[in-house]
Formats: sequence, structure tokens, C-alpha cells
Amino acid sequence: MIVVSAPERLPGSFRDPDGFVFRREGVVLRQVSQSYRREYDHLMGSGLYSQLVDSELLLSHSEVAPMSESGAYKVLRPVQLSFVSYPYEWAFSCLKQAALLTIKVQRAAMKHGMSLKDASAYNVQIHGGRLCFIDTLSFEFYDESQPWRAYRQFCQHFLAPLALMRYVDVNLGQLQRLHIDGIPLQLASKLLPKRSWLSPGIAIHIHLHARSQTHYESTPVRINAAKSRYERRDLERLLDDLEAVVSGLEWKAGNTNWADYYEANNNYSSESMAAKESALTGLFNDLESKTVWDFGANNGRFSRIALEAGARTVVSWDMDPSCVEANYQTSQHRKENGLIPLLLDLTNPSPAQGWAHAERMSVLDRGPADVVMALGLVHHLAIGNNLPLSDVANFLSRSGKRLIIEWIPKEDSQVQKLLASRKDIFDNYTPSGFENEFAKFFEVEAALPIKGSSRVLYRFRRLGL
Amino acid sequence: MNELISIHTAVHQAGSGMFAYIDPGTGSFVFQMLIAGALGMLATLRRVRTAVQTALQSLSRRKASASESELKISSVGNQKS
Repeated sequence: MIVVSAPERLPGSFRDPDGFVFRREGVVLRQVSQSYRREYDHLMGSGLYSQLVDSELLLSHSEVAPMSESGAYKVLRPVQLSFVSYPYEWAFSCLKQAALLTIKVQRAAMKHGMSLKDASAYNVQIHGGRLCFIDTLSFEFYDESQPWRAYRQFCQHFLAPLALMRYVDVNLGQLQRLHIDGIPLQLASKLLPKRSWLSPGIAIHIHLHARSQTHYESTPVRINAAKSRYERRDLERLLDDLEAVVSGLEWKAGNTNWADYYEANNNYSSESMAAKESALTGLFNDLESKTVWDFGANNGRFSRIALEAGARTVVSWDMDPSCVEANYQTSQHRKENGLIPLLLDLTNPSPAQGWAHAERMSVLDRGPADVVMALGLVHHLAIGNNLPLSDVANFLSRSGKRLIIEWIPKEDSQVQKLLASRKDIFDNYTPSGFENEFAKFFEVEAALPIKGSSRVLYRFRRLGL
Repeated sequence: MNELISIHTAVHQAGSGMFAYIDPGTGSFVFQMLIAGALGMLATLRRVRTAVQTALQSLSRRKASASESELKISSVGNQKS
């Protein structure tokens, strides 16, 4: 047993009395409390753990020496995640797959005499190109006479946002950001259109479920001595039904301004596009980048260049749900290990939130990335959103150690489109203005004009690195 | 009535220390018991629907293959004549 200072619990890990997650020397570890000894031993000894890990449903771990006087039964070193993402940043299909994964894990647990005590979407992460369940302490002994205690949470974390995205608007997925423990079913029921009652699954698990919650909030439940039997097959049917409802929810990415950007809606000729790709590859050549963040990634075309150039993880951010959906489906189809397509409005990025502003990390809290890419983006921030170039440079310098950015001059047709219906108040939006403002935070490593266009690709290194 | 009594009992049992970590919500807990029968019926209906769909599909396939072979026979007949 080694003696070191007490572990510092991560701020988001406080709900479960059976253990917590902490960081030691940069490694994320999970402490298992003595109170969870029997459950943990059963998880490991019953074959459940190995079945889940073998079928790539659960993140694997090894046991490491616990600290003295910590009260720990075990300390686990899970496989380290390359990036933590949150459900409000996921594509529709990603949230749907996470729901189905949770049901699979619950079914496997039941076969081994265990059950999930919670069904939080935050227990699922994108890792190695697939979704996996990460909370080793979510398993409890299964009492066949009891309903599923995680049912409400499953409906709030998965079914309600998926139904709202499907029936009302895909952007309602952002309600998950507002409601950190899932969207209240009463709210979901109010927002869903009447036609959603025609789906028996939505009618039962959201509308009627919400009414039951409302009813029992104000109705005391009295003790009565009588036999009570909720059977295993009842829970199996519930899971079958939830699986059928979730599987039946489809959302088709529509045509947005961005969905066909590379195919039809940009001002690059095929030659200048090839030149841009080749220049970008060149800029990655001498870099050892573990993590790349691609802001404004659209369908991930340039993110994949970073991946091919050797980046281990590329977080491919875009604000358009259709692009993120397309990007996610492509990454699943190609079984791309290192690509994580996520939804992000850079002008209002995911904040630090939850208890004490620390339960969920902001985008910047999850960085800095080794390299940030900002291609075809600066004019949207500076002109579309009135952001001074110095503010853009400041934020990007806090996001990554290096920056690959595309300068788009004012005469570019895309910039002209932005200026078409407004007064040009952007006197500083010039090549020298751009270079001067970015020089406050970065030094230039390369500047490559893109053949066949008036744009320039810069590679910057953050000052003081 | 018996069902309701049973539900009350189960909820009481559930409330007595079992749910220290995540509150399942009384409404959600009771609701699962109430819908257990309905979900059974829904499952049966789904099975029946799937069986009917499968039967119809296989019938239409059989019809299609029968008309295809008729077509072949008649085209062979035409060639001969």
C-alpha cells in the first residue's frame, strides 16, 4: 500500500456514495467504497464484467493500489478517455445509440443477477470510435420483485430528448443543457405535439408516465400489507418496449445552409479545394498532435485530414445538427477510431455548469488541444458575430497550443455575402489587422496562400510554449 | 384493488432504505407496475403484427414468383410458337 495525499474528487463525481472519480498525477481513477464491496465482487466474479468488456459495452479497468486511510475497498484505473463529451453535444443518432447501449447493459446485468441503479446519459462516452458505458459502480443486485429504479432517469435522459428532437425540433436536444438530470417528463409531454400520442411508446413512457409522476407527487402512498409481485418478465417487457420505442425514433438531417457546403455551396474550385487539403496535410506533417479540435468542421472533411496525418483524437465541432449527424454517421460507417463529431455553437459554447459551476466542464476546461483548426470560420466570428479579431485570437489561444487558421479576406465572396445586407464597420478586418491581432497571442510558424483563391492558411504557435 | 394494495406495499418497501442514491420517483415506480399488463398486451400485439406481416410478405413473394414462372412459361410458349 502506498501513502500519498488524499485523493481529490472530481467535482462532477459526488452523487454516488459507493465511490467517486478522482485524478492522481494526471490519471483519472475511480475509488470503490467499502459499502460497494459485495456488488463490486459480484460484478467481477459473476462474469458480468468480462462479458460487458468482451462485447465492448463497458470501459475496462485495472485495479491499482489504494491509498492508505482512504477507506477505499478498491481503486480502479479505467482506460483513459481521450475526450469527455456530453449528451447535449451529441448527434441525434449518437444519443439514440447511447440509449440502446444502456438497455443492452441492463439486459446483460440482469442475466448476472444485477441491475443498473441509474441510467444517466452521462454514463456513456464516445471512445475509440464507439460508445461505451463508463460507470463501473452503476450496478446493484437485482431484486426481481422490484421495478427498474432507473426507469425515470432513462426516460428523462434518453427518451424525452429523442422524442422532442424527432417530433418538434432537433435543436430541442439543447434542453439537456438546461436540465442536467434529464428533461422533466411533464415538460416533454407539454412540448410534444398531439400526434405523438399516436405512438403507443411515447404515449406510455412520456405522456402517461408524466401524468403518473404528477399524480403521485401529491398523493401519499400508504402502507398496506399484502403480497407484491413485479416479475422479471415485466421488466424484460419494459426493456423490450423501450428498445422498440427508441429504435423507432428516426430523425433525417434536412437540407441546411451547411449540409451541402462542400458539394454545392462554397466558392472553392475542385483545384483550390485540393490545394487547401494538400496545404493542410503539409501543416500537420511535422506535428505530433495527440488531440486536435476542428472548430466549424462541417461534415468533418478536414478533420479527417488531421486524423490521416496522425492525430490520435480529432474532435470535430460544428453548430449545425445536420452536419454533426452526417459526420457522426460517416464516422460510424467507416469505423473511425479517433473522430468525435460534436455539436457546438462557438459563439455560445458549452459552459461549465451544474453544482458550483463544476459538474460539467466547459469546452475550455476540456482543453487545451494540441492543435486547433479554424478553417472557413474567422469571417463568421468577426463579421457575422461582430467579434473583434483580438477576442477571436484570445479564445483560440486558450483552446489550443497551436492553431491552423484560414484567413478569408474581405473581397472573398463568402465575406461579401455576410456584408451584403449590412454596413461594413470592420475596418480592422484586413490581412495586417489579422496578423497584428493574432501576433498578440501567437507566433507565425507558416503561412501558405491557397492556390486558386485569395485565402491563406496560417499555422500559429501559442506564445510562451 | 388487490393490485393497488400490492403497489402500495412495493412502494413502501422501496422507500425503506432501498433507494438511497437515485430517487426513482414514486410516480415512475408505481407506473411501471400499472403498465406491466399493458406492455404484455402490446408485446403480444407486436408479435401478432409481425407474424401477419411476415405471412403477407411470404404470400406476396409466392404470388410474385408464381406470376414470374407463368410469364416464363408463356414466353417459352411464345418462342416455340
